[in-house]
Amino acid sequence: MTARLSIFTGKGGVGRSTAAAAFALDRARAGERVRFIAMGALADARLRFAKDAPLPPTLEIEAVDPRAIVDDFVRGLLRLGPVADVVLRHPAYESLVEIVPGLDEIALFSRVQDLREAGYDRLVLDAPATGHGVHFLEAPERTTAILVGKLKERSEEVQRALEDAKQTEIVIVTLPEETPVRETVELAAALRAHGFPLDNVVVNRWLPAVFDAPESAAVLARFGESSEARRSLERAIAQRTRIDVDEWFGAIHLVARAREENVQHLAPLRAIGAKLSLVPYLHDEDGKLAAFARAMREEATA
Amino acid sequence: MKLEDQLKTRKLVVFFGAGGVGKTTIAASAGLEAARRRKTLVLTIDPARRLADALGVTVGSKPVRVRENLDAMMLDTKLALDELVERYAPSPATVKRIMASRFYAQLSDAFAGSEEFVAMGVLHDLYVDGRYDLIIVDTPPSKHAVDFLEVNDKLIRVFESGVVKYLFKPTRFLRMGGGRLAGAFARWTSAEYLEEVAEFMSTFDKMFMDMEGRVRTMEKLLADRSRTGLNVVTVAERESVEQTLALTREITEKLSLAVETCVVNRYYPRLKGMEATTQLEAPGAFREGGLRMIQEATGADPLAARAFLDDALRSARFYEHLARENERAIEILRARLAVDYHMVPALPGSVHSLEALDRLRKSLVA
Repeated sequence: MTARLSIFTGKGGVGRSTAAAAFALDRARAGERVRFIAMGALADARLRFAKDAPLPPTLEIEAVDPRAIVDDFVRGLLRLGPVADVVLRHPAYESLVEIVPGLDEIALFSRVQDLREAGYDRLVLDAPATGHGVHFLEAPERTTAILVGKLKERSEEVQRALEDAKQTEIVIVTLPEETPVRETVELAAALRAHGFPLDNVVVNRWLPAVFDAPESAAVLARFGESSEARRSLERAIAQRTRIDVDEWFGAIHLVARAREENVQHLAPLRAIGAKLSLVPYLHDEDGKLAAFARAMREEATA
Repeated sequence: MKLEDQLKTRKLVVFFGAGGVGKTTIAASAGLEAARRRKTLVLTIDPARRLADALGVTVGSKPVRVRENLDAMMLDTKLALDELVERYAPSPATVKRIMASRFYAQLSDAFAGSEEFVAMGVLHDLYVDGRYDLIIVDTPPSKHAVDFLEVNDKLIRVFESGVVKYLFKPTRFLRMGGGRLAGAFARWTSAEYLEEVAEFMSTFDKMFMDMEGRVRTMEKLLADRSRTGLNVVTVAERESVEQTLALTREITEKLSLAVETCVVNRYYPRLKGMEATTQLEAPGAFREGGLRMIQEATGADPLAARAFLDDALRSARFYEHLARENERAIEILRARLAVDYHMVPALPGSVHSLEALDRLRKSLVA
């Protein structure tokens, strides 16, 4: 049985890791045998699930260090320990490994490929927050061109699997803000152009629906224009409680404007044509991942 | 030293931080403030064209005039790298060969450090040129910010290890360690590819030599607190705060550079009198009175007044939730990072006009 690979991409700060963790947990709770794979320290990867304990036994968490995989690989090639040490400790080694583009990615994908046949139903990969998600996914293809021998075969195998919608699905996580939306539209187009199977666009921190009704928005605008209107409201409320109405309207206006922008960003995201999920602003509390996954499952209605 | 004083006295003011925290807008509004007194350049090394958005100018690989005393430059690192190759390659034929090589095609996309390498070179040239009293740098996000500040360190290590020298002479490199190293690499990458790498490196022979001098200059400049100010930008959310703390720790511990201020961007100050929300939500005379008042003040019909009040109360509740989370995140930040703070409250809408940037500027130096 071959495990299905779900790759979560997205810039830093958009909630990509939270989305990936939420999805992994959700699938594991649904009975799939899941392995969650992230870069960096294992403790950090585990911390993502802290508010959603207890975790199901069907969920495993792994943190990957691509450079260690490259080292292991070179060690394997050289077979003999002492020779391997000479090479790995050579100052030129680090520079060359660093300078050859795509090696880390190939190491990571190679690890993922090993896990495909390791008895899991699903692998969830929290991709590194590189500038351009498509560069990350293109790495095997780019590297294939410069490799020889077994590593080349491996790289080609990885590339085929990444482009196969039966084996792989890609999720873009983004925010309903100008730059993230533009980058998402570009990324989606690039993924399509390269034949990567884009499955889902997840919009995180979606604001509550306020002032969508024109009559309600009109009243807000009226208060915005007229300080006299605000003063009379202030007087009415002052009988019971004292608030700074201008300060309140500032806050309300802030939320209203943000909501308005959210909605404006929907059209280009919808035009991508993939499944679109809107995840509300979730507060850092127990069961956050479960709530996130619920919202992610739902498709945004037109 | 507070930001406003840095902007008056330093030669270089750097903003770093995780992605999406508004570094570019902060850098741009700091640029507006500085330009009131000094000839200023805002340099951004960010693949997303955010500074261009914020300043409403198209930006390329040359400084562009924004207003009196203020230039902006969004560095296209790929273009800058091409220019470097053209400058240093011995012949047009070599330029052609390098530009056509697979190694070069991948280099600027994927080689972590090539952007920083080029950026540091450009920054050095602008600094030495002396055209500007102050250069404000907006570094690429998160991990890259460390790469950017670390690039000098890395280059020095490369010089000292002699790798560059090996790479200048491909045959010497291939024979190194009795040919074992080359043998090992040749098992997974083709000999032609190694030759491409070597040709690129040997072309850059002179550049590396030039670079060594630049690296020392920049290292001194970055570490000199009388000339350089390092500032971190964050938003007041839990995750960003953790990233900010990790990043700052790395910069202070690993690179021994001092971070002077922290800009907390787009935070929501708490609202006073939140109990009014509960009172206005509950059915009863107070709510009815409020609804009547809304109708009288705005001429709205009862239905519109109710829709408005419910939307307003929901907005206030949402705002307050965020404000409280912001407050908690700021407490954590302040407890663990002892620097000067600049609190920049959220502004309605995206900041992408000079007017909006100017409002931001005022709260930045308030």
